[in-house]
Amino acid sequence: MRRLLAQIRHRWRAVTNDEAMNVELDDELADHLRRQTAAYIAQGVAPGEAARRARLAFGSVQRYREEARDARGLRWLDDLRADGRFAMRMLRKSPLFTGSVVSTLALGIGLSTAVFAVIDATLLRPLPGVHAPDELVQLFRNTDGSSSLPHVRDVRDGATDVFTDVAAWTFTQVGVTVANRTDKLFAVMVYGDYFTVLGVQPALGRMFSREETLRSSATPVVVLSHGTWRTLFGGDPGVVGRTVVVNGRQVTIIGVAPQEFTGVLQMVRPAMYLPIVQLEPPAVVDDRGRGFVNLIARLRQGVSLEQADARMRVLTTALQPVNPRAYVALDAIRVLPQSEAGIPPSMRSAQLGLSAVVLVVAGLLLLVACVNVANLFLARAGVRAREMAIRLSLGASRSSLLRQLMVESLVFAGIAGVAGLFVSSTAIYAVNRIEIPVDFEVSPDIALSPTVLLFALGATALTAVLFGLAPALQATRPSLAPTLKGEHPGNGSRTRLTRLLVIAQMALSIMLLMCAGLFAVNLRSATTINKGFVSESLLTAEVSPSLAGYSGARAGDFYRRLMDRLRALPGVRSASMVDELPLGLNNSSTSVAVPGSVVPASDNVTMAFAVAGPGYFATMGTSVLQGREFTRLATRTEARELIINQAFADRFWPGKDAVGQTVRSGDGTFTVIGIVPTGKYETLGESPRPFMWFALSETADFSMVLVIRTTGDPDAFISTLRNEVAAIDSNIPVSSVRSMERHLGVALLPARLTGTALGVFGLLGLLLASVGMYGVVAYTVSQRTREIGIRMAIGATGQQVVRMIMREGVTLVVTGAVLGVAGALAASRLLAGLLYGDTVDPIAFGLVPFVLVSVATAAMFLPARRAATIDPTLTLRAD
Amino acid sequence: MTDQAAIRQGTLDMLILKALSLQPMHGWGIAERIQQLSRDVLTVPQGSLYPALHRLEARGLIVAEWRPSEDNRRAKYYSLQPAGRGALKEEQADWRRFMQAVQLILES
Repeated sequence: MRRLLAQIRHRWRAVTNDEAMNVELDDELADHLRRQTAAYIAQGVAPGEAARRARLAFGSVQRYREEARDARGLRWLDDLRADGRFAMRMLRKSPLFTGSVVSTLALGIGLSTAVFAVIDATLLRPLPGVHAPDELVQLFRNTDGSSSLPHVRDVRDGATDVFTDVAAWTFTQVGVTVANRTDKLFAVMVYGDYFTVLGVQPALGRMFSREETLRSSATPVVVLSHGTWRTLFGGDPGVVGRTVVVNGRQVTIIGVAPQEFTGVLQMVRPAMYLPIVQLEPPAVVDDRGRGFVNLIARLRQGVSLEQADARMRVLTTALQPVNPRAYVALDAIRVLPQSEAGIPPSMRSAQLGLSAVVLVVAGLLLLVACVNVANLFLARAGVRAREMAIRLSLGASRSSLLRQLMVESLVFAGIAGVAGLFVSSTAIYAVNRIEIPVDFEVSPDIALSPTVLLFALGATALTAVLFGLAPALQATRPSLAPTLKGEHPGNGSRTRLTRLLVIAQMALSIMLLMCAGLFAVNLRSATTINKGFVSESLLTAEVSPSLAGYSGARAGDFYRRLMDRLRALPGVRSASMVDELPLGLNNSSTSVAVPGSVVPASDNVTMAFAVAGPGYFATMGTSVLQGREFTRLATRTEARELIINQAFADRFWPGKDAVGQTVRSGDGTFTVIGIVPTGKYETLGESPRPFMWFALSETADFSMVLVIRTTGDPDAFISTLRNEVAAIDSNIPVSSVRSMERHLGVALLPARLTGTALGVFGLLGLLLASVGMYGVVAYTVSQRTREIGIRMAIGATGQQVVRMIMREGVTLVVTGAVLGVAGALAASRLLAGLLYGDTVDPIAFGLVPFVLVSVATAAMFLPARRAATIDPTLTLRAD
Repeated sequence: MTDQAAIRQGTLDMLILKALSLQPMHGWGIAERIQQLSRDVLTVPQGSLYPALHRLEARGLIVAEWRPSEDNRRAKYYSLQPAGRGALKEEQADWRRFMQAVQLILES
């Protein structure tokens, strides 16, 4: 033990206090020489002669110093340090080279790190804020995944031997009233000991008791999320015991969940937690047919996933005869570890797939960057071949040269890695700022976590090996005699590969950039496309009277009163409502049958629809081509009215008058009372499709989206709108209040995101292609120095040399460009669904290849010009 | 100098440990002591002495410390560690076994 300590101390000193040890060694050797000299003098030798003999007997002090350092195990450190210094010198010597290598690698490393950060945040991190997340499992019914509450009780009671407990949860939307304003918030409804199963301790107050989650009580309770506690209650430490109005009922706050806790899905941050029994009637709690919850359970200590799975199979078999209707179709209950079940199984595989694709794209980009840099290094190795050959012939070992070149690669990669972290943190910042237009708070919390940093480090090291090793091996090949003689060994295969790479890069960059250009152009034309309505000065907002306890006729009455108030306001030209706005994320469809339709195939087709209030089309700025629109909240007979678009009419009654025709849907028959022009309903890029609108009835109690046409800026009207709703009932939540223009931003989001991503990757591709061009041409020039020298010696002008070199490069570039344009044409067809209008845009298809070819040509010009300055006498004399 | 023999590789470490087992010494002193004890038969190649000392120090068998020497100058003194004492014992045993074996062969 003491010996080990001594060894460590010695090593530590050797590494950290190297200079002092050198001085000490010198002192020691001097002391030795002095003593030896003194000994000779004592034997009668003259002082001068004694000193000479002592030194002679000792030999080279320098060599001993090195040997002593070897003995201290430090030689490698010295070598590395020298190599590092040399690498830094090379780095400073050619800033252009350094700049292109570092920026190429930094982008490659940075972007793949950013992609990995997204994957880390969404798939890899353990669930925050819970106890022992690896013991948690989710239980899925094999049929549809969600379970009924009686099923939860069956599983809980039947599997106490494998699970400590089983709880259920599901998302819901609630109307929460604070200070006379009601918001629609996203909440988690729980059943059973949800917090105990997850092992969550309250930040304040207490969590639900078992009794509170299993049986409804007269005193409803709520646990707030940490975020809600901060935003709605200002982080008031005395919040426990206060009440808050949820869905129109006074609910007592009993606790606050810890800050990091997000429930079972880590990306979604619910606002509060409520017992299911408090919100749902006993009929739902006891309904076996009503599957709407997700199950979470904690494995007993020492119970494996397989054991739990086996237990579930036994349980299913046992339950089948007892409850045939609920269990007959169920052959198993699937047990999934929580870490894999954050997302339902069906979606998870899709997400994994998508993540994999993106990571592969980013990885390929990094690989291309590596290949590129390797090309650059190769080009430079050509220039340095003589230096290497001379050093080899002077007896430097190949391994020492290899090591030196690898240290150089590492230094480059290291700098690029640091720069890459800036790239990735910028990218992460941008991704985190993307507003996902959904009604609940989503925070993927993408960050440079330790795992991500480790990934970046690994990527950097791997990069160094990838781009450094091949050129290093090539540069230090032992058969360097021809190089020494000024000849270049034939390596045509390598050159061919390089050229293929350049063509591929060029083609890929053109494809990416052209697609990005298409998106940019389309985004612009999207604002002018005929959507079937006028989006300017239109305000939209969702009202949910049902969340304030309204039902049936009471809700209808609310809508009528609200409409009357809104229309009476100054600045409002017209107002109406619809259940779903066009071009949103949700779409409803229902099956219809058209009696006597000329469309034979199947009488029964699915048709997209919306439910509209009176005056909807007038408010939306949609003209009615034939017939009329809805005039008031539909009474029982008027509820049989239907308005269709032109595409609908054309499909079922081509060339006939559609008004007055009937359509069967569900258990009713509806009469067409009006026809409107065909617009856009799901995406801006969709082709004309049939659509229909049912009349909003007097007894509709679901949420509706208000549409209000204002005379001025619709945003200025937001607070008035809230006040009007609150004036009727402040418990009714108003949500998603925004102008139609902003709502359309949602529809444009996929195009915008894809366009941005393609643009970034395309620009990166452009950079890579130019750097690649530069590298290849520079390499070719260095290889042909002698040939060029001879050409110039026999009278070729510099201009002719430049032309000769450029001709070769331009061939590569143009080949790549042609392939790229062809690829882009093919890709644009695949992207047609995301594009609006033309897919072949003259600007995108003309400008991009032009720019790329120009940039690549410019990148070639530098080495070509250098070739023209070759001094023929020098190259020839070099032989 | 035909009566002098170079020290074989590997034996030097053992001889240094043996010299230091008597008392702490500086480098030159160790070389002198070995030559003296071998009645001038063995000379320590001075170039190998210091690397050997540093190697032994790195292995934790000896420690070094600067202190005033007999002529009132500073010198680096090496002294044996308990681990060094153990190592010396082992190497001596190994050496004796080796010598006996060689002797058996030579006398056969």
